[in-house]
Amino acid sequence: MSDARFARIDALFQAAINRPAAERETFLREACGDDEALFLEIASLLEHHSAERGILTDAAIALAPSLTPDDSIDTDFPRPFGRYQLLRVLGQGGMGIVYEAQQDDPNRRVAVKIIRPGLATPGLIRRFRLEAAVLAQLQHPGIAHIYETGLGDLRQPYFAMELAPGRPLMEYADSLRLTPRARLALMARICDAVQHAHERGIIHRDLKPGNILVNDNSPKILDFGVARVIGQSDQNVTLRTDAGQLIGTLPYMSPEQVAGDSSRIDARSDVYALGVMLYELLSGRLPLDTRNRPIVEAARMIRDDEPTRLSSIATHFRGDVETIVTKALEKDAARRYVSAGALADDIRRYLRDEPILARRATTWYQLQKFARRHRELVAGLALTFIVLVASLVIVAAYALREADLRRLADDNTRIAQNNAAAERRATYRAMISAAAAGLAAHDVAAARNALAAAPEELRGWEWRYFNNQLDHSTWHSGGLGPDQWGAILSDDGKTLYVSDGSFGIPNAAPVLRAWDALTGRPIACDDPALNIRAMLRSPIMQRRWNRIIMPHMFDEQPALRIVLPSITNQSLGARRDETLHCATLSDDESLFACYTQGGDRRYSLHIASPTGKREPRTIPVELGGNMRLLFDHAARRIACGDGSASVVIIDTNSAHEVSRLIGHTDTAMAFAFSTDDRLIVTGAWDNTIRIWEVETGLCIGIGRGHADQIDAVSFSHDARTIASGARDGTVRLWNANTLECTAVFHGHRGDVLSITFAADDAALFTTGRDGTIRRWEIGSKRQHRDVLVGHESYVYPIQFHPTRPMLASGGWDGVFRLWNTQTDEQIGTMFEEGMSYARHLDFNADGSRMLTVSEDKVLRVWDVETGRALSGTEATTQWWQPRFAADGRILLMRNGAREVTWWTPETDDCEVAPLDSLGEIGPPLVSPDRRYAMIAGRQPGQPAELYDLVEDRSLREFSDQCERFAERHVLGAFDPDSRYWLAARNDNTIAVLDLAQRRFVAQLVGHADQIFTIAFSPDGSRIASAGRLRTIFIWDAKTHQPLAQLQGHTSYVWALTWSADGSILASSSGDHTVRLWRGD
Amino acid sequence: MAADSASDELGLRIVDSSGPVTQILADVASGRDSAVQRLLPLVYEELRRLARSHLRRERPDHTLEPTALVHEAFLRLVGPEIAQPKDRAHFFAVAATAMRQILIDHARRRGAQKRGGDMARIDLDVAQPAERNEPVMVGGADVLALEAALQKLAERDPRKARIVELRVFGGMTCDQSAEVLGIASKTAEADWYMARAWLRRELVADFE
Repeated sequence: MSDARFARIDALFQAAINRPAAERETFLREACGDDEALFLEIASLLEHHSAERGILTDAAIALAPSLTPDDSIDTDFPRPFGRYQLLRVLGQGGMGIVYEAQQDDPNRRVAVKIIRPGLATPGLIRRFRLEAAVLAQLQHPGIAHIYETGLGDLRQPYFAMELAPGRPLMEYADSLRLTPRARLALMARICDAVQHAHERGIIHRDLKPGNILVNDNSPKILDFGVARVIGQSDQNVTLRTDAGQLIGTLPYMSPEQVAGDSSRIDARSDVYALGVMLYELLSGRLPLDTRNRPIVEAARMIRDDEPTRLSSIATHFRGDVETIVTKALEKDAARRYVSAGALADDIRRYLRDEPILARRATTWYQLQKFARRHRELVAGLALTFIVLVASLVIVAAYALREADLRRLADDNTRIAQNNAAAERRATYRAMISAAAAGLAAHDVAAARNALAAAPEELRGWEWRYFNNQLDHSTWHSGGLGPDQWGAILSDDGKTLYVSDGSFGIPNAAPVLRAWDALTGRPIACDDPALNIRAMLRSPIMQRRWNRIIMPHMFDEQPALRIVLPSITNQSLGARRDETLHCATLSDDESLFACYTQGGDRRYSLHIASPTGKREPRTIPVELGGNMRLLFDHAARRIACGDGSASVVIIDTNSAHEVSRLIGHTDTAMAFAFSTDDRLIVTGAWDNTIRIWEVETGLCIGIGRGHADQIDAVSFSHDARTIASGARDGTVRLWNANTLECTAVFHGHRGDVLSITFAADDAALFTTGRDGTIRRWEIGSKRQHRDVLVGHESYVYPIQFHPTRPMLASGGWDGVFRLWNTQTDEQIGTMFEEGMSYARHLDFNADGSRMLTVSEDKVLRVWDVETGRALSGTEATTQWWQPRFAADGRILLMRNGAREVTWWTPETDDCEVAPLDSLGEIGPPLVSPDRRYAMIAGRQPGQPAELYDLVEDRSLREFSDQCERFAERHVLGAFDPDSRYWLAARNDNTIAVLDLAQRRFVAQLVGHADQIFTIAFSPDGSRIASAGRLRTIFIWDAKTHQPLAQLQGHTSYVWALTWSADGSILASSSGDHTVRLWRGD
Repeated sequence: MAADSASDELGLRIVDSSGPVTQILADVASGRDSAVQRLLPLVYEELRRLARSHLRRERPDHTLEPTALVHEAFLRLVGPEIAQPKDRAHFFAVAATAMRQILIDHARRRGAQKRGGDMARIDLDVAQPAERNEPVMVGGADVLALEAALQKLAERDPRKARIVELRVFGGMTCDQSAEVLGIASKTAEADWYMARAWLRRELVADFE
């Protein structure tokens, strides 16, 4: 084929593909004329052009998403991205692309926002992880829920969030022609959602109508906190993004934002944005007409110009509405509403025709302004006098009587006190939230600081729970000095030794310390030879920063001679002026190696036999400030760290280089050989660990996860596990084959310096810069910690034994199991032939009996001691949730019957009380005092009913508060004093109803899907709830605010229950486990 | 003493791996011709090491991900912070050439292995025996077949062949390829469509 012909084919092909597919053939026929070969040629190319799958598709050549910030959008769908299938592009912004995507488990559509990786610096990624954990905690119906955040294959940060239906705020309001009142009410709901986030310390920073979608009057705010998490430093980045986006954002930016003063940006910046939107919603205009203005001019207007008065656009807004909007739009953040919640409150006051608070503040402000205007008049007067003047003016203005004035002052004091208390509660919630986020990101120091900052008088179960998560170690012992060496284990594995001290520091000669490895009990010990061995063979050979541990050479340290009889300056060929920097002894003590430095600052590596059996070798080296030496187990090779990112492996016989480990991007200072010496693992200051083949220097795996430099690594004896310790204070376990991180331990405060595996690989010992030595359980013991594993299917009912540390559970596998809650071990099963899956269980008051109900509708009573069913206690019926009464009788309410039965199983006595006013009933739940029964609707959709068993009447007025309960067993909860009833509602909120007052008290808002279980803590101070979405919520029972969220289950949570002392919360789940959450 | 000769081999020097590459890229950008020649061996070496370790860990289907490798090499040699699109483009252009050669070498050696006549079994062929019979796949095609077709294409239209190299072996977008070649994006896209259709047809014919 000639080039000319190819060019012709090319030209026609291009012309053809630029035409609609249907026209191509006609076009080609015409263009090719009689040249049938040409036509066929191009036609075949066109066929290959439009091939959907196969070779050289975009997906095939771009298996990894592009790194470059200017990549075009890949339109090949569906394509996988982590756990998601990307389906289509929803939008594209300055910081990334938003895709609609499908998630398999749970099965749902989500929006995935992938941040342009060009923005992702390592520091940013660290902050991203921490803040992402905070964002994941935002659960509010008014905020698009962020399900997951993470890093893609190429470390692009991404968010997976709720795919919200709806239309942008202004479009929604205008298309439905909402009245001003409806608009105000809508804005109040938006404020509620913003307030929810503010309470958790999260500021939106980019609130605008386009970020708020409204569907059926329910607003949903998008991108909450995203601006902050991706490190958008407000003005800087925003101004650099494309102009089109900025024009949409600028009018909603507060004066402090356009001033670029990020230190002054706080919740009130969002209040300003809300004010702008409220103004726009009501008037159809922006408060400041910044459109078509140069950016600099627009920014100036926002800082300086007063907005057009709302009443000048629409006179009917004169008065309260204008006051509210004006207060939200104050230039000085200190004069705005302090929170979105305060703005919402005032809007609602106005809607209820109550006086708004904004006016009072404004009056006071006007008085101040008055004072300022008449400075010469008030100059030199005491503040009290100003107050007096102010009071007089108030008196004049409102003609208040003295008594009214006093009452007003009292009110103000009370409000101030209430505000202070509310402030402290908000601080507490924010600190708990920050602690949870810190723990999730394994930033233990941040979590610890947050917990320390939580107001003490408010600390409750969740504080203790998170506090427990700060330390996972089995035991720890402190007091190690700053020059401690790592731990070594005695041959029998029972004793740990640490050589603590340094030759180089006066009065700090190394002291040998010892502990019982199992219990951590210190053991007295004085063995100079062991001390030297512990030092030379410890996992820490040399600490960093060129710290001279042993500044004198051997001639002046006779102690070293105990273990190194033949090593002298002379035998090493070292000069008198040389100092010892780093030394190590091989496992079999056949070889010794050290770095020395002479007065000329040059370094040498010496390899010698401690007993003088071999001629020493001296190798001049160029070194950085940090050194590290480690023999392999057979003493055939030595790994040499020189402070650089690479490690050199040297043959101890020939002194030749075997291989060079190149790949780390920062100092590699921690290494360990596998038991067979085939592999070496290194840990570096680039926060990664790497596994290498010793012989070839080939890197065969990289482990990422630590947030700071790694100073300790170790291989387990079976070479299946690697442990690493870092400056972030965490110890991580890795699968040695895949380098998947399998566990993260918290406990050390600061740098982890050494790691030693127990001989059976069932535990780890670490030493840290915090001066502690710690033991950690690993392997099966660790995996089962606080997770009760044994059920072979979904676990349903659970309950704690009333007096003993014991928990009972029942599962779909048909078996009821008893667990010791101190050891997490299963201690018994209750099972009989023919039992169907477990539905319900209850202990009697002294815990000697347990009743169970299985799906076969058989009620059984068991002797807890023997685990046997009491004979004659079986009853086949439709009793759903029978309970032991205090007197040992069993309270039964039968599904569908119109009566309650008090049954004594031993005598089979039955006392039946009719419930005349009830119709057909579903499964009931009885209050702790046995006074009330909550009865589910018999038919799906039929409202549930609260029944007062004492007064024998239905409390029908509650029914409309409890919309749900179509599903059996899913009812809600009574509080321990039987004063409140908590009802799970259809909208995934929980209604709190006062039984005595017979009224609705509050609503718990946070769950994003169906609620399956609610449980009061025994002291009534906390409420736990959970459901389909795995997360367990902890609420403050007094303020009804969410306090914490617990993550861990991998499937739905069916039941929650508290131990009698309120220290442990237990949860049963569809993941076949029961988890214990300890707040003791 | 033997130690003296060992010292050179040891050469425990701090190597700032990110330094030279960044400098060379700056030279490339400022138009110094020799810079590309200096960059190529560095990139080649890094890519070869990466490819080697990837191949060792690979699944049996043996689809190499040159794009991912090039990106990884970029991250390791230059780092993520330097986001000058021009620097990236230059780097990727050089990497594309290196990657293409590495993969062809690898596939050829593997092929030789299959026929039992390999003397130089070093380097890349550290893959497990069971995996050796699998062809090396790139962009959904056998790399050797693709190479043959690409050479045929280069005889007819070298620029189109170069765009394929940049896109398939360097992981560049059409826009980036256009920037490297100094042509309009639209032209690069048109070239790519034609080249892709042409290569697909060649490769299918080859299989049949």
